[in-house]
Amino acid sequence: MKLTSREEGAVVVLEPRGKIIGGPDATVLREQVRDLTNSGKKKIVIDLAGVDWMNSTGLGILISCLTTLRNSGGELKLARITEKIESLLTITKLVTVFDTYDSAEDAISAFSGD
Amino acid sequence: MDLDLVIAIVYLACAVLLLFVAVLVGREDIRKRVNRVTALMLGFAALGPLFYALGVFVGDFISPRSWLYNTQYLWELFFPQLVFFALCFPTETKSYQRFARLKYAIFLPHVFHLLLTTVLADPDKLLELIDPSKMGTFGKALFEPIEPIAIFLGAGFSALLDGHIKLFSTVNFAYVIIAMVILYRGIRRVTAPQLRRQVAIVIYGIISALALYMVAFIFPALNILTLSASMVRAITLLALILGCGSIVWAIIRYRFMDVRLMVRQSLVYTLTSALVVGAYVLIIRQLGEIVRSLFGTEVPVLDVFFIIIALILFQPVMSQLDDLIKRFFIRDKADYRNISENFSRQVASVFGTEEIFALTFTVLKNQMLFERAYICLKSDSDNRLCCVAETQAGDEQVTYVELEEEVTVFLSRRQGIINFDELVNEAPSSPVVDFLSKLRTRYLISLVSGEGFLGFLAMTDKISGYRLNYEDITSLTTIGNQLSVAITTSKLYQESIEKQRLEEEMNFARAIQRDLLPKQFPRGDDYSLSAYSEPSRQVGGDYFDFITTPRNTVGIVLADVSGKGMPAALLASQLHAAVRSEINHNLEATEMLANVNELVHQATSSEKFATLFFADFDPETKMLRYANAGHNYPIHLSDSEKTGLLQEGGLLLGAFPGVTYKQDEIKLADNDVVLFYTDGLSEAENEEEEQYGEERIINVLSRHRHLPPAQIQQRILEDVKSFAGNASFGDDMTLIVLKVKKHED
Repeated sequence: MKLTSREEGAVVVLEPRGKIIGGPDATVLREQVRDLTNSGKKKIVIDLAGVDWMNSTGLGILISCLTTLRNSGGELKLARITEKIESLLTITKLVTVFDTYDSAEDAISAFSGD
Repeated sequence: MDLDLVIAIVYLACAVLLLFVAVLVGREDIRKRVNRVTALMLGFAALGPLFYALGVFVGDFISPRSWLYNTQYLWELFFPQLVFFALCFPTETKSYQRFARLKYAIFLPHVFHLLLTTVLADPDKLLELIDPSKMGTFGKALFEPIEPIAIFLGAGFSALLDGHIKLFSTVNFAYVIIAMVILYRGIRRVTAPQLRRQVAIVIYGIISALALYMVAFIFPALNILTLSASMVRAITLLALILGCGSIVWAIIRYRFMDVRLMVRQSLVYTLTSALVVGAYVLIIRQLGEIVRSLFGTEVPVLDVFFIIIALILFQPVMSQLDDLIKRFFIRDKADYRNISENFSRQVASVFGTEEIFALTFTVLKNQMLFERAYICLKSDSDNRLCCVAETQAGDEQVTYVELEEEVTVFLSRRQGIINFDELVNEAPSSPVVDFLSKLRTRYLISLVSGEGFLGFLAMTDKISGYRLNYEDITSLTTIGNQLSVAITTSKLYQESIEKQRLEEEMNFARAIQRDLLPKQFPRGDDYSLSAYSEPSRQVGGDYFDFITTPRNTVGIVLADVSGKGMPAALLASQLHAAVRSEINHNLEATEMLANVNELVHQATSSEKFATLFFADFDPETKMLRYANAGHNYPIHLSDSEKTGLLQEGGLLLGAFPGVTYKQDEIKLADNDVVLFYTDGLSEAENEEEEQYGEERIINVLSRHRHLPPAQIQQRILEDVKSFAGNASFGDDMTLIVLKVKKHED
């Protein structure tokens, strides 16, 4: 998995690519979110367009990102989730927990709408 | 036999031996002051017996009052040189360093003495030189007026000389006392036990020789003692043997002054050869006398005969002797070959790193006489160097230093001894270099195994301060190689033990997990169940359970914990216990799941979760009430080929607090099949990384739905296996088949 990030105003957009299936490189995502949260950046969008697959460990990492942000008063939004991941989120009923958007821009504007 | 002659020979032998040792010591490292001072002292000491022996051989030709005769006093320079030696052996004293030039003043009395005894040895002769009556007119005119003064001076000199020779003994006496005191205190300056032993032998040897010398010469000269001539000779002989012997013994046995093995061996060889030859000469002479006394006359034929026998026997005797000497040296613990050999043997029989380190420290400090040594090993997990040193108390002291790539590359490319300066040039600002400089490191040896760079050995100077010689280098290289092997072996050994232990634990855990699965499946007249579960590793995060509820219905549980292996298995067993206990409380599925969610959430971090499907099947009414906590939807295939997915429920378990769940119920008809499975089945991949998927599962299921559950399960497993081909299953796989039969009564 590769991770790039960009800032759009107060919102940080993280763009992981590849598979999120655990291992040391997947924890990079979690650590990045933790570091951002600690440095006060609490509005984060994870753009999942480049993630073709995710297993239970990957799902766990997403959940942990969400929990980290929520516990410090921040928010996490997901954008452009692929069909496969959407079905994963549906089965696990995580769709009820994550806010998902069709594009990163939609997700960003959802923040400013707060 | 002429005793004087024998004694003279022994004196001569001692003189030659002393000279030989002096050359040896000087040759070993002439740049070192202690070597120069020792060599010179031994040289002066050798002059004493040499002059005595010469006196016996050619004494008749030299007048006792001639200057030539008095050159024998040259040997007395030994005394100031001895004080010098005492000042810089075994280590230089502060006072020696302080008086840079002034220290040569201690030679003044002896130089004066020598001048007096040689140039002015015979005042009468000197006076004759300036006797005006034997000179020309010019000389007469010049010297006649001062003749009385000259005669007077001559007489004065004569008296002075006599007095001086007598009194000069007190100067020697003082020097000897001073040297003895300094030498004795010198032993205390040495702390290393091995070095202390050789130093003590040398110093006690010299001190006892000096004491004997005082008794034999200085005391009689000072009129303290009178001794017979033979007594003096005996004491001198003893003093010589003790003085030479102690130094020779220290060289041979304890590598005094770091003299090399080859040289030490040849020293012993020369000594013994000289003894053998001497013994031969004595025996042959003795035999000659016996023959003379037997036959009354000389029998030249017999002499020749004995000489021939002796010559024939000489070679075997010498070769025997050679063997003996070699064996003596091989047995020697300080021998470098033994050092390497013993180390190799000992280090091969231990597997613990601490024991290996202790052995290495022992050999480097006690046998190779390095002041300090450090074992620095590259850490397995990160780029750090773990440096182990032995403290004074014998404990291990560990320091961690950051290891830079360039240091690793430099050291792993080098074999044998590396001068620390080379590393300093290579990586001057590296933290490793900085750390090693503080430890006064001088030499390094890389430890490299087949797997790459392990670390290195670091050593300070040798206690003696000498540079490394050929023997040291050979030993150190061997020690380095053996240590590399030992460390690698020890690592492998420890890994294998660890692996074995883990494997045993894993097998145990697997057995426990197997035991948690139900062995007896519930069975009724109008339904049957089949189940299969296989972890991808030894233990896994999948589990299923069949529980008879208090309402006498069949509880079916299928769960999948996130992750794999032991961590997942631990959470699975917790879940197993929690679900069982909740069901026994006769709760609704929704309530049960909410409670279990709370439990798992509190017990684990949010990224650890589980999906769980719970169904409550009533065989009487064929009603299946279920709640799905984020699990793959079980597939319900009715006889009418309609497919339903059991979705109702709520969030997966353990990720979030305060989750509520819903439940649903379906009525099963005869021949209906329900397949419960974990994602290990649906997400099984083939070699093209394509997933098996829900669609294929439904296809197989509907094709074989007429079969009993066990066979349906079998067909599904066969199908997924043929789909996966050579790709292995990456996840735990569990499936349960429930089939409702037509009640035939």
